[in-house]
Amino acid sequence: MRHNVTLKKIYLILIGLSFLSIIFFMSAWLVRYYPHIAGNMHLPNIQKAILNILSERTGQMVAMIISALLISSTSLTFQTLTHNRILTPASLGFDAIFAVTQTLLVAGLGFVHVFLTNVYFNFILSSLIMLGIILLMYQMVLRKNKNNIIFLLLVGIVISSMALSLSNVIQSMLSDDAFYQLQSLTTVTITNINRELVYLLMPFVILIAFLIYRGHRTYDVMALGESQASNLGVNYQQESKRALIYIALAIAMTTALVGPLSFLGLLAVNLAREITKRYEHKHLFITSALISIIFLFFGQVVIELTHYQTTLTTVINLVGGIYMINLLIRKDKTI
Amino acid sequence: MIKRRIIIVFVFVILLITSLLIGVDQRVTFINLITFDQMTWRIFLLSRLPRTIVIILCATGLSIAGMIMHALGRNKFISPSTSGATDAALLGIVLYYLLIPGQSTLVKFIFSFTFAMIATLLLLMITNRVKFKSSIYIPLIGMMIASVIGAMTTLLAQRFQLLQVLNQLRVGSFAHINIINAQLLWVLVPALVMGILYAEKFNIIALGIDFSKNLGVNYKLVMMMGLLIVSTISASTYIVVGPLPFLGLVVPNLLSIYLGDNLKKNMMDVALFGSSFVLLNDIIARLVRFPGETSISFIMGISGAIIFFYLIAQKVKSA
Repeated sequence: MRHNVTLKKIYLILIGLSFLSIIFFMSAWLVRYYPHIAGNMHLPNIQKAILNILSERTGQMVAMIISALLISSTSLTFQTLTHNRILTPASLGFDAIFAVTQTLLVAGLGFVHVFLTNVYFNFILSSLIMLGIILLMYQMVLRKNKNNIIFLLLVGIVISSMALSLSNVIQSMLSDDAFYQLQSLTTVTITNINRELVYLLMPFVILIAFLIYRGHRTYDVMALGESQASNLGVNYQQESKRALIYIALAIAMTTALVGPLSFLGLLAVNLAREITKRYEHKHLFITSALISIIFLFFGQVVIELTHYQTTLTTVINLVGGIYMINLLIRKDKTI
Repeated sequence: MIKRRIIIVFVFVILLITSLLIGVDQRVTFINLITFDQMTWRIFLLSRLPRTIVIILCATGLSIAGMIMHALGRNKFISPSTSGATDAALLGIVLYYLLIPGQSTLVKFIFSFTFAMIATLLLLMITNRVKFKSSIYIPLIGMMIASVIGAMTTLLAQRFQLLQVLNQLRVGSFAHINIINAQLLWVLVPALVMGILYAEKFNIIALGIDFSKNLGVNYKLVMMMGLLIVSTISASTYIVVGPLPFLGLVVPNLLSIYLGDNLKKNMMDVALFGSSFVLLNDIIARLVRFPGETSISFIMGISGAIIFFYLIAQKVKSA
């Protein structure tokens, strides 16, 4: 009974904090523009500007919530599949695959092609290509090696470094115009999100998040290990393949939407484990999603208040990495 | 045994000559060299020869550093680039530009050396404290440290408008090498000599702390020596050339499949093979869009990755 009470408390605190962070985010621009709008609220163009800012912020907010949801849930599932706490799907090198996809598109189609300049086409095309590459990787590695995820991981690391080099070589051979086009395509951040795309993606995201969440009981069993899970009647091979496909889909979406945020999932899931001290995926899914929302929004607010001197990716990599190293050093552990 | 050595030397010599004769200036040919054409010899001595020598020095240094790190970390996947040492060296260089720019290269070296040393120590500390289910996790942690250090470097660069410098530093190239700016590589000489002198002790260290104590080897001293050597090599090659990905990982691994793990015996082969590998990559980098030049980092990123992939596949097959 006592256990449930503390869990409820944790939920309440986390929900409160995430609301607070969202409110902070929605009002952070006020700090900068307050002198301009104070006393001028009655002017029509000021009102219009405020509305503009608010609708832009809403788009960003939705995108950030989407990413937080997908990143934390895929990280948790991935950690269950690999039986390891220091991995995320980002360790498979998805951001590099995204960069190389865009580079190949620019090099292959020419930089003014409608598939590139139209956001929807580009998004759908690059998501499909990424999904294709990832599934190919799974097929190659998993069929031959019977779910050897460590192997998949190493392949991912190698492929990501290779993809990065390859895209750099191709980039050095592009014309200047094509290069700038490519730059604008590959440097996605939260501040230059495409709003229409965000709303378009909403239903898909909800569907995937629901599908992942629905499997929480299966994942609880799968966390016990392959033979135990098989004994308890879970088709381990099939379930893990399905989970990997969900992960691939979700990562393709978030990378194309907000760019790479590799350490966020690691940070959120491990913090969730530490705070709740529970093993049920049901609780971990929710708490880790809330924690990543808190980190994303507070991080973005801090960056905004320091006048964009750095990017969210850098800050999250720094905080998340230090936390992970600290976690590893703090006590003798087997991982 | 001898036959293999002959093949390696033969390949090395061919690549060496090719590397010397490739370049934008078409006058550098055999005939002009033999007839002592003055202009040809000037280009040869001021640009071609230093470049090739630097390639050989850096390749030898990093391959041997990789081999030593495999022994120190008792893991085949550790190398300067997968332990954070390279990124820490970069952080040191960036800090140097921020704090006391304009000093001699030696000061720059001391900065980046210190940081490379700290990062390597951190990783070895973690690997000694944490028990790993699979040896593959160690380079993963190394890369995690590397990305944290990388994030710090980026943060500093963003804050102080050094991003352009940073982007330049992150790309390795032999293009700008001449006699003057490669002088720092003198520090490689003592490092390599020490490496050869301590080779057998590194082998003993690789057996573990208890074994090495039993065999009368001062574990801490040898460990420290190895760290000094590896950090010297990583920092100095980074300053002169920039990053050469996969070199310290791929070359010692490939050779240890065929030759075993005897450090002292393998040193010559590793040096020759590593040099051949980098020479070949450099030749490709120079020819991909001749007369322009592509960075060798990228070419090595691709070729090294392919070899590494092969190595992993082998390992999985045998496991």
